[in-house]
Amino acid sequence: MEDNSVLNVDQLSIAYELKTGAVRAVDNVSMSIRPHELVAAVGESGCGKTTLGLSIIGLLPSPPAKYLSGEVNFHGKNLLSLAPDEMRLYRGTEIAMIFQEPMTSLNPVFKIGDQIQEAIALRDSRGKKGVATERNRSASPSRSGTNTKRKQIIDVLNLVRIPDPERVADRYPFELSGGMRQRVMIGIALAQKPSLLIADEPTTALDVTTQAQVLKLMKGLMEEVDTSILMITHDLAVASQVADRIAVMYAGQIVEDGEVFDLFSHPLHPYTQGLLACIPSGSKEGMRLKPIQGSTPDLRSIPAACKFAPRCPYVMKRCEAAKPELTIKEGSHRVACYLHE
Amino acid sequence: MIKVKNPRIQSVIELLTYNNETKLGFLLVSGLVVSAIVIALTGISVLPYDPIKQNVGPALGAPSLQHLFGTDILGRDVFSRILYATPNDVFVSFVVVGVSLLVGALLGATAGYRGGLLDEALMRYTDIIFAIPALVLAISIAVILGPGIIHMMYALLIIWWPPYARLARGEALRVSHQNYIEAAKASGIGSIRILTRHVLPNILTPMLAYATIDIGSVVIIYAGLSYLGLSIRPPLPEWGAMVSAYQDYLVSAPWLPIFPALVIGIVVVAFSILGDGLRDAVEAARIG
Amino acid sequence: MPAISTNEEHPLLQIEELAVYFDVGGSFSVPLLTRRTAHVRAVDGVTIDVGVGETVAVVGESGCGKSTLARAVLGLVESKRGSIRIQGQDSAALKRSKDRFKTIQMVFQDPDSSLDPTMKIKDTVSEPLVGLSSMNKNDREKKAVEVLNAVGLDNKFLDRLPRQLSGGQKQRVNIARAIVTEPSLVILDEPTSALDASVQAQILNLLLELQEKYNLSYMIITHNISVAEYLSDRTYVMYAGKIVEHGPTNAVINEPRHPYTIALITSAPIPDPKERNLLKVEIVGEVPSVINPPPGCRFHPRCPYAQQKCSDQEPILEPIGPERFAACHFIDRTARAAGEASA
Repeated sequence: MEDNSVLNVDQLSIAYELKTGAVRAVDNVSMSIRPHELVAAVGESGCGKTTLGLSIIGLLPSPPAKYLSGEVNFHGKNLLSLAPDEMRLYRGTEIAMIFQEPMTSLNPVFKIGDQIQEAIALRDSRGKKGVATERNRSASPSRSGTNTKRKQIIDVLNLVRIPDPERVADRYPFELSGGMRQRVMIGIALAQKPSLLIADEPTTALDVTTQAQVLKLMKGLMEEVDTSILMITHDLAVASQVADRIAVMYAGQIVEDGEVFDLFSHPLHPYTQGLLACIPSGSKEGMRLKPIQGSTPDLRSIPAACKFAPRCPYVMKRCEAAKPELTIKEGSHRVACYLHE
Repeated sequence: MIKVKNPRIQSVIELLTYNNETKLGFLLVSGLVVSAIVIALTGISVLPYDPIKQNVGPALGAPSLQHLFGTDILGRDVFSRILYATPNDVFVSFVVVGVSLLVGALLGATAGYRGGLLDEALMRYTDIIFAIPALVLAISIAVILGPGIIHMMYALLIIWWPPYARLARGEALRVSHQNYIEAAKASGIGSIRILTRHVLPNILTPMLAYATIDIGSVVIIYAGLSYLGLSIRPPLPEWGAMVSAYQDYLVSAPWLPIFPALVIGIVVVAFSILGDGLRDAVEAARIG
Repeated sequence: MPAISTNEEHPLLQIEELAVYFDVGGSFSVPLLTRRTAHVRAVDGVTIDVGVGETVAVVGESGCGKSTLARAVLGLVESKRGSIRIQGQDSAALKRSKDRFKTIQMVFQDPDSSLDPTMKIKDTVSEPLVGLSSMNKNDREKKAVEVLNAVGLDNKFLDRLPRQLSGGQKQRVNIARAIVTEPSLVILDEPTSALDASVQAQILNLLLELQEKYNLSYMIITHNISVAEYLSDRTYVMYAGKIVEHGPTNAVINEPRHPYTIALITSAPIPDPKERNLLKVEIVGEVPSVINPPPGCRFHPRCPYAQQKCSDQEPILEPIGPERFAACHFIDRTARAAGEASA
């Protein structure tokens, strides 16, 4: 157990109860995030990464989601044991989240400045009676006076490097581009100086050059704002560019995680290897892509076997008999595979 | 969960069994429709008493085992009268909504898809119709045409189709921007086939949810108009007309106006329940 | 059957100085009353060639006009200026647009909205045959089965509805529909953007297979550099309605010369943590409005090499190497910078 970890998820399992059956969306997931660390949860659609993210910040609609077991420890405190009102105090102030579609995350009928103002006001009010941590005590107490409020708004816009912040503060969301809106979202999220920012596919809807700008911004702000980031993405290439550590998820489980350099130079799990082999690089004359055989499993059935077995080129008898656990291979590089026991 | 091979029928079943509202609503509505058809086909033979015949029971008799809803001043069995009137309202409401749906869908879809002059013309025309209070317009037309069920239907039809046209136009606008319409154009398909094969089927489901609740609205308006005496000629029973005829007995023989009114209410609620549930089901299908 | 001849004088597709403008006026009544129409200059003078059996990539970000370009080539939107020649024949001269649709087909972006939710797969795939051929129902169905099998879907998919299919399967259906009339050129608009990584790989390989099997030419519209690199022989880079650079794919992607191309290539994430060039990207600003594009070179407000000349005079495409062209006044300066970026 990491003592100074910001987040420590311990054997978390979550299922969705649907009309057609129960679906194990998150299956015995354990992972941790240290201060100033950017951890990327990478996986394809349906692997459970979004469910994981929502469960950490407590935004998972339950029902239909059901917490089966495990803990989500934030600075040592298990968030799952909190009542909804208590959890609400953490949300936005200590743990913030940004989503994929900046279009729908901002309220279209309020100006940018007003929406930022709302976040700041929340921070200041909570600083007094909300979550009492070291960080909040040092945050500036609210001062009435529109000039100060205005300055705070401009500070946030400057933080996310938005040009001409005075004008942007008076604009409405529809007047801004996707990239700008996402920056505003980041600004609102970080204005409250959370110690953890969860970013769910933050750049998937953006153009390539805008994506680069936003990723650069996020990475750069981590020191300045003293925050860690959990980035949820399906794009392994994006993860490789910004992450310190990567957790590869498949069918609700973490199948491999480790330092980004280790993972890319020595991918251990056959799924990770398969994902890497899927990314086109170079021309068709060079090397043909080797897609992973088969398709993602039906999460309703919970076989005793390794979930990747039907698609694994190295499958052994063992793999169909029991599920491999996530174990340490070397240093902090963990993998759930019998090939590496 | 009922499962059928044909995916289209499966979609319909899924819509109807989406939640408790749709299931209950469907049950009530189908019961109503079946009764209406049976009564229309078999006439008075299936009823406990002849609805027009007088003195089959005591005058102003309270509800009893022989006369479930009691009898009126002329000794006629109220229950039989109510049953006999069922095909009336059901027939009128289904026809009005059905024709409005058809006309509205065709006009609205074409306007939404093509745009231009047709679209403007339709919008302005429907604006005019909306500007005039519906009931007033219906009454005026009915008065001009004279009493009678068919005339009532004409009056209602004139005011009833514009909302469907607007709804269809809105949906058609949404559908027209979908890639499969472009793909159809690139497949050399002409406008008419695109409208009938691609646009109309895709706007129909949301319109059906609206139409279902709307049937209840027709029942109320029609009952209201016949309450005003614009519809059917006595002695044939009609629910609204019965409420009107019996309202003076509210204190002395309350069952007389209450039962017809109650029946109107239940019928409308049944369609509302089904329609509401369908609306949720359609929304869910759209998202999922 | 499409005419394929190795002695073909003309490339399969020749787009020359194509311009597509849209009126921005709203509905019928607004322009009538205000007499004000602005133009969205979505495509503003684009020249592209596609040869027989070739794959050409058109690379750019949102708003650059690439999707509009695709629609214009297909014949779904009218062009304001310029010409489109198909196998040597001016498309305007092709009396019936149906001939055009038989030769050029398209796989649309977003597999979900490209399939009519109320139509069975077999009907969707055979629809082009209804509009563009005189086959009877049986023959159409046979052909539909043939192309569906060719894209890897077996007969049990024939009677299904789109909602019963996964994203990858839907995209295969889209591809099947595009090849059912045996076109010579298939335009693919972001063919894999909405798909998971492993599905994307399957579709890319499928496209290569089909190209060999049916001797197809492809025009791939994408913002994904690695897809463009993997599939195409030549690449055109598009920005704000214009082509800013083009040439052999290998050259354009590995030695980009135009400042925008450099920014685009360096922004593309590479799956290698040791090459974190993404964080070194210096591009600023946003894609410009195409209603009122900046004067001179459209990229100059964001260009690190911009000088006064760039806002005064619009650069034209000039040769900068073997079969390579770029539109930039200061292309020599970028060569050194490009060398540094990839070092």
